[in-house]
Amino acid sequence: MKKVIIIGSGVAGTILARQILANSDFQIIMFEAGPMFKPGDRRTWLDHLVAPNKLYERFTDDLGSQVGNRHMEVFGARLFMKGGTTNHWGGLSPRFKPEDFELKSRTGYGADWPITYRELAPYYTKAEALLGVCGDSDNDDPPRYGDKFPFYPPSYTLGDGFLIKILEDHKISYGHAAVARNGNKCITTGTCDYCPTNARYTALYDLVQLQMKYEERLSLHTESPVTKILMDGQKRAIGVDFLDLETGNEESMEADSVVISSGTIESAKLLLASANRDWQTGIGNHSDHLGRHLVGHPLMFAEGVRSGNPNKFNSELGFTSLLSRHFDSPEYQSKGKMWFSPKIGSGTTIERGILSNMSRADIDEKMSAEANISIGGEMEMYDSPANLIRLGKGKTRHGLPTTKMDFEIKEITVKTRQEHADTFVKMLKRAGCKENSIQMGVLDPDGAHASGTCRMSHREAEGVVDAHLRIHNTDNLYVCSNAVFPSIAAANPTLTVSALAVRLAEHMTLKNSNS
Amino acid sequence: MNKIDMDRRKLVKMGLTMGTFSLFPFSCIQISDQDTSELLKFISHSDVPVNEKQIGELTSVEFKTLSSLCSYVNQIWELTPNLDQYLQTLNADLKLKTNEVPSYLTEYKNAIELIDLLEGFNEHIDEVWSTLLFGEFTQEDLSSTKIGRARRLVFSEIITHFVPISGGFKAFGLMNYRGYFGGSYASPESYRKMEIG
Repeated sequence: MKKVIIIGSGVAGTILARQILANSDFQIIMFEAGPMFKPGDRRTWLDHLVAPNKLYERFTDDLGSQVGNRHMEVFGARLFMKGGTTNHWGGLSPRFKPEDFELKSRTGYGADWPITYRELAPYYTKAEALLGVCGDSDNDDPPRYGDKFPFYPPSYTLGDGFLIKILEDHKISYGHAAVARNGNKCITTGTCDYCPTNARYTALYDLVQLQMKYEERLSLHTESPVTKILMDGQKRAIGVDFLDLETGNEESMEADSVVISSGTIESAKLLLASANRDWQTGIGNHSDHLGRHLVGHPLMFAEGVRSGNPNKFNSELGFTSLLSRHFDSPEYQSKGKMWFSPKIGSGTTIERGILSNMSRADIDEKMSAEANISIGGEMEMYDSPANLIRLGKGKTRHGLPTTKMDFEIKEITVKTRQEHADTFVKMLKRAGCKENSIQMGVLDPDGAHASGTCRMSHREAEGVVDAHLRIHNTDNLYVCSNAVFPSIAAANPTLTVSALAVRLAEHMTLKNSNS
Repeated sequence: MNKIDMDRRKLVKMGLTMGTFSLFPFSCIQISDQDTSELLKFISHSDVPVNEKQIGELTSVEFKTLSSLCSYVNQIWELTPNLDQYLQTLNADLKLKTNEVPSYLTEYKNAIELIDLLEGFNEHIDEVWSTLLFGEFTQEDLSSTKIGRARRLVFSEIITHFVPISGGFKAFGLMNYRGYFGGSYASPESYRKMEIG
């Protein structure tokens, strides 16, 4: 039986494991630096209900565990635990658009992908099924070639209806957000960061199911950071060294293939830390692309207060239902594509009113008196070879090396980001928000959507992995992570990395059956 | 134009906030200096429940004392006609909070001690709760004291549980609320949908 090591239990590693297990007799050994966690547990849900910001504190990066001239702040963005960052993701699952795969050809920035949208489309459809995405199958931007979402989208909320009028007033197109919510299980409780019914996709719950179904062929080592990829010569990976955090022992595990699914930052660092005689500056780094081309999503937001909220709009659905990709179009690709989502809510909550000793009538009046409107968006940025990840000194609380990072954002992105934020402010004014209530801001990317340190390319001179995610000049060592993205697009990356995982599983299992 | 501090998580959470305390005077009980010092006794600065590994259950009398908070809130804010039904859920959920680590057992017992203490001063439970929830104390930082921890880790959390789980938010004209099991999004009853036309 062929043994495959997968490093990382996030969405990429889990989807890959699921597909390999379903389509072969391979044995999977998965390593996760973080600890176990329970999905769908009432006690955990109760804790999350009353203190939503605390649930995942012990799984984040250490504050200050990265250094560099300027860096992408990863604290709070990534989670080191069974299931990885999907434990607190919002579930947004848009496809990239066809032009996103041709960035270099169309704009001169960054790099093209070695695969096209058309090639990836069937894997997008499979990934949507695996993540349980609800979406509008009639929306053909990007093209769906007749494929349906597994679940139809929830109807727009009453508050969405108010916001849609503003978008239409600005002639801005909009649609249902594609989100990973199983329509048969969602009970609209609004505590989506810890779903009591596992309706929101998490790799955590997926893994629990896989462990039950494939008890004999899937093993998961938590609190076991992998420290080195073991190679036999230049081409062949033979296993990994890992640290057992419970015992403190260094151990090794052999395998027939190794897949690194540790996210953009840790995947690159592991390859750097695995330098050997044949790969003196890190595995996959013959052309000096390893750790470079780091990108993320710059963010912009605006919020304001509008007098009058007779409908007491509030966040009744609890997840994003209305989204605009109006600016995520070929016309904006040369300056910075962007998507955004508007939200509307009342100025207080009932429990806050009670705890402030407001009378019932006062709470009622306050909820009706004002509406808070917010608009948040994310945009594409272009890579720079100077955006670089290297190994820092010392280790984090999860047993991983600290990160040294240099990061910059091109001037054109800074300028476009401000333009997008200004557009949000105009919409808020048109929505009736009081001028002096409007606040706006822009943010540099955090680590949540980091991409690009092991980019995909046809030739070794241009990247780290080939179109099948195998490290150039190796036989059996792969990277399955956002790290392989040659460009980031404006859309959230999770569905795309899931589609790549489905495609890689097909490649690995077909390769085996052919041989 | 104002600039505000924000990060991705805050951005994602826009519109989702939990209750926080502010203190307002309300018809409060006069308490002796000795007992005020009991309320202001230092317990811990930690956000983690005290004796978090000590598991167990509240007695039925203790639960009745603690859950009188919900009777008080329901009386003033008129959240639900089905209080008894809600209290069954609260009882089951508090058992989960005391039978598993981190256990809230000691925090709950400390809060119950305060309720009992103030009840000794007054026959009216309403005034007891008014003092416990809203009474002003001279100490600047209440957060680490017995009363401060009871407010933060016990009373605030129970009210944040009560509003959605009891369906009490519906009294304010809403259909769904964070923490309420509204049902399938296909159901017309689960949340207020956009009006067509």
